[in-house]
Amino acid sequence: MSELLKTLEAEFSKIKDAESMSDSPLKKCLTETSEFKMNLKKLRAHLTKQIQEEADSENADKLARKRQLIIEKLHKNYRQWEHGVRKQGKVAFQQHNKFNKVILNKIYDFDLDDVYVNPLPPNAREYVEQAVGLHISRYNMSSVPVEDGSDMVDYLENVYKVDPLISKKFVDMAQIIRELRAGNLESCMAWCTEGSLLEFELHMLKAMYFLQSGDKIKAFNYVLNSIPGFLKKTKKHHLRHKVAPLLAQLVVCSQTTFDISNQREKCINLFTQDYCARNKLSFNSSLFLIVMSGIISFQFFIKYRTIRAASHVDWSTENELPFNVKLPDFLTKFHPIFICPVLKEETTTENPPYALPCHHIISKVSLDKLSKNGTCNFKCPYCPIMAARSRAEKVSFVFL
Amino acid sequence: MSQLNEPSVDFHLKLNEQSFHIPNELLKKNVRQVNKLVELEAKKLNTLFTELDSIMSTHDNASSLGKLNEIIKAVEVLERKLEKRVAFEVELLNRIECRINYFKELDDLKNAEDADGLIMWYQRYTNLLVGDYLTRNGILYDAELQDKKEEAQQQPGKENNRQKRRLSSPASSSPPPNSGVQFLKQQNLENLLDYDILLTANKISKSLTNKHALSPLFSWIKENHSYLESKSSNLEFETRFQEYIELVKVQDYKNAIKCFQTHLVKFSDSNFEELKLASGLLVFIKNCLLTIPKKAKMDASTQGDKEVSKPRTREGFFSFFFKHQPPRSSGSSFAVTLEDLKKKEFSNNVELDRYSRVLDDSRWTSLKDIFLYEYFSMYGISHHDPLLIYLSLGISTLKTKACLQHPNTENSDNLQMDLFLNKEVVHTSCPVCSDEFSPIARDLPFSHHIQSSLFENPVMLPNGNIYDSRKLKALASTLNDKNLCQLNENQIMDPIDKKIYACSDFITMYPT
Ligand SMILES: [Zn+2]
Ligand SMILES: [Zn+2]
Repeated sequence: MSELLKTLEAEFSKIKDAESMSDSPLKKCLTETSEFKMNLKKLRAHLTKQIQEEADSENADKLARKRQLIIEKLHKNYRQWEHGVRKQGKVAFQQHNKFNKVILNKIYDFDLDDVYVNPLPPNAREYVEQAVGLHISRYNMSSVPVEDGSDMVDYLENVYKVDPLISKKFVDMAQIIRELRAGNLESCMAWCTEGSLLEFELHMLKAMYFLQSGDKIKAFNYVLNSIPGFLKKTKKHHLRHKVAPLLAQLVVCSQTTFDISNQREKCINLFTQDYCARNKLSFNSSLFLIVMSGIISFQFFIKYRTIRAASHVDWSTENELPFNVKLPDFLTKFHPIFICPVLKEETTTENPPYALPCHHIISKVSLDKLSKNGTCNFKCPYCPIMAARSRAEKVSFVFL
Repeated sequence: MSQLNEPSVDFHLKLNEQSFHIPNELLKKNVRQVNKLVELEAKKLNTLFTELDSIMSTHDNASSLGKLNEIIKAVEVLERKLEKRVAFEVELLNRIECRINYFKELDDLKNAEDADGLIMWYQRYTNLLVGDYLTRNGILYDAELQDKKEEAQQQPGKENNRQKRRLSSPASSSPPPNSGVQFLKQQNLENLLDYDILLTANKISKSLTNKHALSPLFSWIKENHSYLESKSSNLEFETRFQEYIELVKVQDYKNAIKCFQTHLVKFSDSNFEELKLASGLLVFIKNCLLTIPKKAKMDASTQGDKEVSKPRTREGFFSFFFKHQPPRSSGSSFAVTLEDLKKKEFSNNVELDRYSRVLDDSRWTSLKDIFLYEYFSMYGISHHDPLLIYLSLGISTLKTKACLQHPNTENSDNLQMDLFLNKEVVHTSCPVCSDEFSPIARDLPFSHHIQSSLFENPVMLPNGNIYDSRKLKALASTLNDKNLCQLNENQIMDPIDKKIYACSDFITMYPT
C-alpha cells in the first residue's frame, strides 16, 4: 500500500475517531456550553426559590449568605466554562495544525500550474465546451431522467454545440441503458445482433432475474428454451461452459449467490461497445482519452520541470516534448509512427520516409546525407545492397 | 509502474493535494471562528456577570432575575451557533474521509491489477475535472448573483451555504443550480470536490464582470482582511478605487469624496500615483460637466420621454468616453451625451486619454483577476482550470507528427464507395484530430517518440502507400460484401487513391 496514503489514513482516523466518539474538541466546546447553560438554569431556580423564601422569612443574615453562595456558584460556573471552551478551542486548532504538519505538508510537492507551460489558445474554451458536451453525451446521459429525448438533443446542441446527429445516437443509447438498469431487457434484446456475445449475456441476465424472483421453474425453462437455440445460432461454443454454473444453481441451491448487478453492468458495457461500434461512435470520448494521457504524462512533466528548474532553462518554446511518455495501447495506434533508423527522429511531411530498393526505409534527410545530395551511391545502413537517391521512392504509412 | 503506466497512488495524492488541503483550511477557519465567537461571548458574559453582581447587591430581585435570564439567553444563542460550527466540522471531516476512500479504491484496483476497474476510476476522475470546470465557469443566473449578496451578509461565514443548500427543500423557488454542481451531484461526486469554494469564487467574480457589483467582494475582503494584509495585497485598494470611480461616474461627488477620505487616503504611501489620478479624475469630470450647462440636467429631469433616446445617447457617450459598452446597471441616470462633449471640443486630448483608461470597463476584468489570484492562492487552488492543464499535457502527449493532416485522398466516380472509404476507413479516431480538439492542438508541442509504432505485414503498393496486407484484403471483402465495388480474389482497393491493385503487386517492406 502507498506510504503516504497509509499515513494520511492513520492521521485522519485519529481526528475522525475522536469526532465519532463525541470527543472532538469542538463537540466538547458545545457540551461544556450546554452544561453551563443547564447549571445557570439550575442556579436561576435556586435564586427564584430563595427570593420567595426571603419574602416570608426574617433571618436576613442566613439569606444573604445563601445569596452570596449562589453568586459564587455562578461565577465559578462561568470561570469553569470559560477555561474549558478556551482550552478546547486551542486543542482543536492544534489538532488541525498537526494534521497539516504531519501529512499535508508531505503531500504538497508541486502546484498544478507549474506544468502549464504550453497554455491552450485563448479561444480554446469554445471547443473544450463542445468536448465536454460530447463527453457528457457518451457517459453521463443514462443517469439523467429524460422524458423526451429531443429536449436533451436540443440542450446539448444549444449549450455545448454538440452535433444533433451524434447526440441523438447517444440519447437512444442512454434510453436502452436506462431500461437495462431498471431491469427491462426487451429493448436491448431487440437491438442486439443475433448470436452475439451480448445476446448470450442478456439471456443469462434474464435467467438470473427469474431466479432472483424465486421462480426456479421459469428460470430453468427459460435457460432450456432460449440458450440451446442461441448456441445453435452462434459458433461461440466456449459460451457453453458459462451456462453450467447457472444450471447448477438452478438444480442445487436455493440461495442466490450470483451477482446480478455485476451481470447487468457486464451487459451494459457490452451493449455500449457494440452500440458505439455499430454507430461509428468512438467508445471513449476524446476528452477522456486526452485527460487520461494527461494523467499519465503528468509525472514526466513534473520530473522534467524539476530538472529544468535546476538548470534555469525554459522549455516552453520547444515544438516537441523533451521526453518520451509510454502510453497504454488504447491511447496509441491512432497514427503510424516511423522513427528514421539513421536519424533516430520521427518522419514528418517535411522529412518523409523513403523506401530503398532493398525495401528498407529511411527518412529524406538521411537519404540526402547518405547520398551526398544524390551525388553518389551508398550502401543501405541495414543490408549490403547498394542504393541511390534516384532509385529511392517516397512512401507513406497508412493505418486501417 | 502499473499496467497503464499511470502514476502511483503517492503521486496521485500529491497531484490532488488541494482536495485535502482545502477542507483542512476550512476546518482551521471554522475553529478560528469558534475561538473568535467564544472570545466575544466570554467578554460579553463577563460584563453581564459584573452587572448582575451589582444588581444583586442592591437586592433588586426582579432585575437580578432579569439579568440572569439575559445571561442564559446569551449562552443559548452561543450554543446554537456552536451547533452549526460542529455540524460544519462533521461535514468537512466527511469530505476528507470520502477522498481518502476514493484513493484507497485506486490503491485496491492497482493491487488487484484490474485494468477495467482502473479505467472506470479514471473516467470518474475525468468527470471530477469536468465538474470542476463547469463549476468554475458555469453561467450564473441573475437570481444567483442576487443571492450572493444576502449570503455574504449572513453570519457566520460563507461555508455554511453548502449545508444550507442541502437542507433547503427542492420545492423552494431557488434559482437553477450551477451546472457544475448539478453534474457533480448527479455523478455522486459532490464530496470529492470543494465546489462551494469554487462557486463563491465564480459568484464574486461574475458579480464584478457581469453586474459591476462590489459588495460581495467587499464582504470577502472584510472576512479575509488579515490574510490579505499579510500578503500586502493590492486588492483592497483596487476595490476601493473602483468604488470611487463608479461614484464619480454617476456624479455622486459627495460619496465619492467620502470614499476617498475614509478608504483611499490611507493608501497614500503605497498607491500615491493612483491617488493623484483619482483626485484629478473628479476635477476632470466636474469640469467637463460644468461646461455643458443645462442640457444634462434637463435630460435627467425629463425621465418620461427620455426612455427612447437614453440607450442611444448613453451608448454614444460611453463608447466615446469609456471605449466600451455602458455598464448594465447604474441606478442613477447619467445624462451627458457625446454631442455635448463634442460641442465642448476637448482641447486636452492627453487628459481625456489618461482618464478614459481609468474609466474603462476593462478595469472590472483586471479587478476580477486580482481577486481570483488572491482567492485561489489562499486555498492553494490552481489558478488555471485543472481540466485545461490536463488537456494541454494530454494533447502534447498524444499529438504525433501525422496529426492534424488530412490524407490526400482522391475520389473515384463511385460516390457511395468514396463516402464509405473517406468517412469510415481512412478516418482516424485520434482524439487530437477530432473536430473538438484539432483547433486547440495546432500550436501545442508534439509528443516525443523513440520507437516506431507501425503494423504487422507491411506491404507497399506501387503508389508508395504502405498498409497492413491483411487489413487491405479484409477491406476488399468488406467492399464486396457492401456491394460498393466488385473486386476479384486477387484484387484490393487502395482507400487513399481509390485505385485497384493486384495482390501480386504487394512489396513486402522491412521498416526497422
Ligand atoms: Zn537495405
Ligand atoms: Zn491525430
